Amino acid sequence: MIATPRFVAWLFLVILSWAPLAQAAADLEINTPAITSLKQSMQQRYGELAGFYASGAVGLTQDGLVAVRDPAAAPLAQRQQLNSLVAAENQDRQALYREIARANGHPEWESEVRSTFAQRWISKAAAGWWYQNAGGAWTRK
Amino acid sequence: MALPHRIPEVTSSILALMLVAPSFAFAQRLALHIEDIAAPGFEAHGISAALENGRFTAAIKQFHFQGHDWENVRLSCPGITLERDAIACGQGSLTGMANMKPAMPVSPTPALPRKGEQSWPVRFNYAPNAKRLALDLSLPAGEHWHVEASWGKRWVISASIANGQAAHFRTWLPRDMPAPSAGAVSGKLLFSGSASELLAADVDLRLAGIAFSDASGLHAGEKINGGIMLKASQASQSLLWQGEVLWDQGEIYWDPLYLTGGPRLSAHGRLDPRRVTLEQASLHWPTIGDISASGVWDKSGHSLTTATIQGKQLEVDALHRTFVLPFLGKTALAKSQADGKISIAGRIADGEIQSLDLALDHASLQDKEGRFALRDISLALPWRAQAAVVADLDIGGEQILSLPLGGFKTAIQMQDRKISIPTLGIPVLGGTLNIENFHAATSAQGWQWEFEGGLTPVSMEQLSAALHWPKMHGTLAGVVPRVHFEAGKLALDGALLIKVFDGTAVVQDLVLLDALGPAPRLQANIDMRNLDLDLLTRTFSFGSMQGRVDVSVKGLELSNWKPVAFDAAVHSSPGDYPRKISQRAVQNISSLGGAGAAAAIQRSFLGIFEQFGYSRLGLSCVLKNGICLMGGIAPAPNGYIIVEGGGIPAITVIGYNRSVSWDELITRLKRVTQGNAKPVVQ
Repeated sequence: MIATPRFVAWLFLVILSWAPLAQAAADLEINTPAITSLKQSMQQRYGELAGFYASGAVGLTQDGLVAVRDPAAAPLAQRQQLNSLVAAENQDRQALYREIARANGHPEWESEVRSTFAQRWISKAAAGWWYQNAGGAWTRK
Repeated sequence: MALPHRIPEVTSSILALMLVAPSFAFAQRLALHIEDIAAPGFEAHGISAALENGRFTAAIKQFHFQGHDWENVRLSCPGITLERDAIACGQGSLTGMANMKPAMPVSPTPALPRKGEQSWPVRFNYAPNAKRLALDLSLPAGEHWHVEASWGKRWVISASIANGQAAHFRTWLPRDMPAPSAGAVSGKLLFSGSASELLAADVDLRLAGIAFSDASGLHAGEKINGGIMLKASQASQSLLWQGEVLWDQGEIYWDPLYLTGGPRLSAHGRLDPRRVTLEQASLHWPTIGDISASGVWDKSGHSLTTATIQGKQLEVDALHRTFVLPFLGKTALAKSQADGKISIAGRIADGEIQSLDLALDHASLQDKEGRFALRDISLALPWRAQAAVVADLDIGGEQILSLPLGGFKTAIQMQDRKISIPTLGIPVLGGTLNIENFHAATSAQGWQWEFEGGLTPVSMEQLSAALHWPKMHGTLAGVVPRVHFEAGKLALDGALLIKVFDGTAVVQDLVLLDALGPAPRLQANIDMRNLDLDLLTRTFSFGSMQGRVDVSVKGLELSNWKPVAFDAAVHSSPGDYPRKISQRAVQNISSLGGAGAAAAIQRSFLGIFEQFGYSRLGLSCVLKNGICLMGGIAPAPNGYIIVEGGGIPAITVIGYNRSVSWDELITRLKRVTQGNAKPVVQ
């Protein structure tokens, strides 16, 4: 589905991670060592996750995380990788939201940062990917 | 006859039917109706049976079992034989319709649509006096079930199954358990006993193309072929049993393990009222080797009374990939691979591990991304509970990042869960890294360890070549204070003293987080004294400089080994020593200050002299948010002095750019240190 996964991965992360956050008025482009390493870690992982997004095994949740939506969409031999990728991605995403809020000097903004990211991840998701709508139901883009 | 009241106990109602059954034999007309039967997990509504003119019909309008539902389940037999000791149906049929999703008797092929009723031939023969029942059920795709039961003082149930669809068993399993969805079971089984006691069993089943999964997909199997054999017989108050499980083909994902077909397990033991005894189990795993085990499980205490496990010359590679890696998650070993052979023997008594013998033979452990490697590992570890033991470790060679380390042998002292190594010398490029007083122990936060030591002189030429750094000269030696690791954090409890570039470097407050993880972070303060500028500048092809400098780096912070913050300053060391700077070094220093920087020099001298004198030099950089705020030894009009002239011919270099992007500065440094920059004389 994705012809040049590396480029798209990079573009995706750049666009999504650092899109302006108007609502919370937080600087999403803020950079700290923690944010830098989280960005790198997520960027590296994207290449491995892309196939699972496309097959529908993994979907974007309404709270800015990812979830195993349909494990049967992944062969048994890949389910271990699928679960560990999702766990690692969520760990990084949660840390990213926390670090951005903290770097802005407002740790209490974490939930706003998270919800803005959630909307952005979904709005920029590729066609065919699955996401949770406002009601929590899985929807195919 | 009608029973309008709810009957709470299923067993009592079945019993009631059995008691009245013999009287059917002489009846020519019969009608039975039960409104409902309910018990936990089971409900049946509208149960009826009728016999008229030799035609028998039994029906259940709605049937619910373990979360599965059916409608209109009907058994009809047009030509039923009713005799004194035999009720027989030679050409009956069973019809029904699944109401919900389940795949059971009404739909043996779950992939097909389940709309409408389906019907299958059934045959039974019931002998009330002889207490014997035989039942035959034929289903599509050659599926046939033959069941025989007899009861009395001793009961016997036997079945022979041809192409029995595994999906049927979904019905009898709770919905939260992994349920079979495809595949077939063929073979025979027989159980016999007295009252509630099992006295004998004989099972021989073949599995073909079995698939199962739970709703989460975390426990699933596909295309499983194999067999199950079990024989049991009563002997002196115990049930002696022996069994074999063959898993020939297929795959199973049992989170987080992924296993493929091949293993064979055979076991025998005994079962008595108080305990389950596994006399011996042998597991043959083609990619790993043979493992045997034994044990006794105390049924009343719910504990393992004794157990042993033994495996010789097991394949480390498959063991690591299959059973170790899935649990390593985000640790430094997550992308490791191992090789060699391991032998293991363990013993448990009273629920506690008593002994563990491990032997590694020519094993290796390496990171797929090349961050570390241990080669030719031999280990003899004889661990005993509550006893001090010594393990012998012999490592042929190691590598950390791109730094090769030599082999070593050591004796590891162990007691319970504590490890100590009094002294250990690891050869490093002609020198030795000495580790002393190494102590490690497990705690709630995981492993914690500490050591102290030192490094005897190592050639900087070799070290820089090994680490792919620019060629450095001189030697590196140091004293390592107590290094302490706990909860993923490595810290130095004192100052790390390093001798380098003919001067000294003292590293303090060093903290390393997530050292081998995806995002290592390092914090430190570094103070260097009397570094020989000649050795230093030769290293970086910077152009020749003579003199000595002190370097101070405060608040150094590296993320993924790249600097993200520090407050650094280089200044001429105090003292008396030659101070010379080459024309090329002047140009390079100037270019570091950016486009706006320029050497304020007496131009006419440049063309004539290769070297200039200076009285002092200094440059500082405060790195924050990717920007380096630069300064020199003293302010100058619109800038700062980097090199202050002295002697004849003298030179003064002034920098004008106070703020430089760190990335840009690194690019410039690379450019000038790679020797591509040509001095430009204006």
